[in-house]
Amino acid sequence: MKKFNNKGFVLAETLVVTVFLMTIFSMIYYYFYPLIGEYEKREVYDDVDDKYSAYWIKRIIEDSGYGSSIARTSVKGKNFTQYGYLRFECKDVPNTDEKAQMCKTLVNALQVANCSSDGNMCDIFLTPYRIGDNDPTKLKNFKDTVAIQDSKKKGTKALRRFREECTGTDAACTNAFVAKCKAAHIYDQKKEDEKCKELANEKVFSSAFQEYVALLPDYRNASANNAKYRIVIRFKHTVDNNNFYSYATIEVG
Amino acid sequence: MKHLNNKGITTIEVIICFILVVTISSSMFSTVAAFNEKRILEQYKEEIYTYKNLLTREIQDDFIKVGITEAHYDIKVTGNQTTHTVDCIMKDGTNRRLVIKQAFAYSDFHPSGSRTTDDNFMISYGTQEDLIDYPIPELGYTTNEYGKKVQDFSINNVLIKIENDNILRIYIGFYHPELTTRFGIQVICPINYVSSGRDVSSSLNLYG
Repeated sequence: MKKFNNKGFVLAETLVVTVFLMTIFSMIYYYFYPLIGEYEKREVYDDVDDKYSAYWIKRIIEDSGYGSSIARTSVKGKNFTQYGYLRFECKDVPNTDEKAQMCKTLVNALQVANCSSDGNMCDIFLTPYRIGDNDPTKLKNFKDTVAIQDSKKKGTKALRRFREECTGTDAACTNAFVAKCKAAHIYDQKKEDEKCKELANEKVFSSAFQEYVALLPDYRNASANNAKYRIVIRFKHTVDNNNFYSYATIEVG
Repeated sequence: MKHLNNKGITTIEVIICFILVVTISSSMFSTVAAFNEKRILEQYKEEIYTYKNLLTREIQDDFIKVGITEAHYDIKVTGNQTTHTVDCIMKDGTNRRLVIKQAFAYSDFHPSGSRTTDDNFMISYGTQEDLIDYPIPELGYTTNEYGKKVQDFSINNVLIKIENDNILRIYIGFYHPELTTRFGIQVICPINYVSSGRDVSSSLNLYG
């Protein structure tokens, strides 16, 4: 009868098993832990409060005669064609409509990010309904615009605020933006000039916003409600000592 | 007959093996413990989200589908209990009432709290004749030096405002020692919103 090897195990064998186990567990940890961060990020995507907030902005846009002053050839219209979005502002709601006043109060109450007291310059991006594929209308793909990052290697530069709604030189566009920013009185008057210049050079889309938009569907199929547009909104929650951003989207029209 | 190898293992080998096994086990234990803590917090979050979503949907459904024509806000303080009441008259002539009650027991955070009663928080919503209670989730509690319950999850901040007579703004802020003030219920709704019957596609045409 063949005898069993009863030598037991030695240090070398224990070490091999230990290294093997450590490698497996560190790999599990390495791949599993980022999932928690990813999950926490998604808590601020389209939550119930933001969805209802987006709904009321949608109602204002749909119900107020919004956009009658925005021609395709206007600076906003060109921005829509060139970059696949335009910034919704309460000033574009006709003054003749009672919703113009309501709009200003509403966007601030809803804590939309970057809003001035008169409801302008808010982070409400009006886009085509389809945001992620080559729209048959030849409009710029919004997802592509958002995804562009500063890269010397690729020769790309993320969109800056001063380039929005402007087709002139960088200097001219910066001056125009600073003038608009000052008129909106977002900052304290003493630091207005400096702050507005800083804002002019800020990226339009933060990295967190880029991640949110990248995760949105392309909406290739036509809307069941025949919606032509979509709004993508960034909220900044500051009530009750909070300080975090959240995001929502809803179809419009 | 061949003899068995009975050399065994030396004391040093045993000690080294023991140290290795203890190191791996302890590091694994701390990781598992951290994940378990995370799991409990996620469970709390889920309960909060379920509660928040349910209540928000109830309120917003009424506000959106029926619409508000008038809203009134009242706050009453009786003893250690604060009661916030929002009364809404709806477009169909019915009414809705939202009542938020906060009563804190004595604790380091609420030294003016009651020494004779437990923490008590309640949100009620419905018609004035038929208010439905929505008790906030119980996510653990401690007992103060007077033997009264201090809930870990509480309504710590209620902000209600009617802005420019046309926007009703309700914020019910929750607090939990681990989750802080991150979770709250926000209901913002225009008052007397009249649909103009316009169509955005007739005013906004950006397609070629």
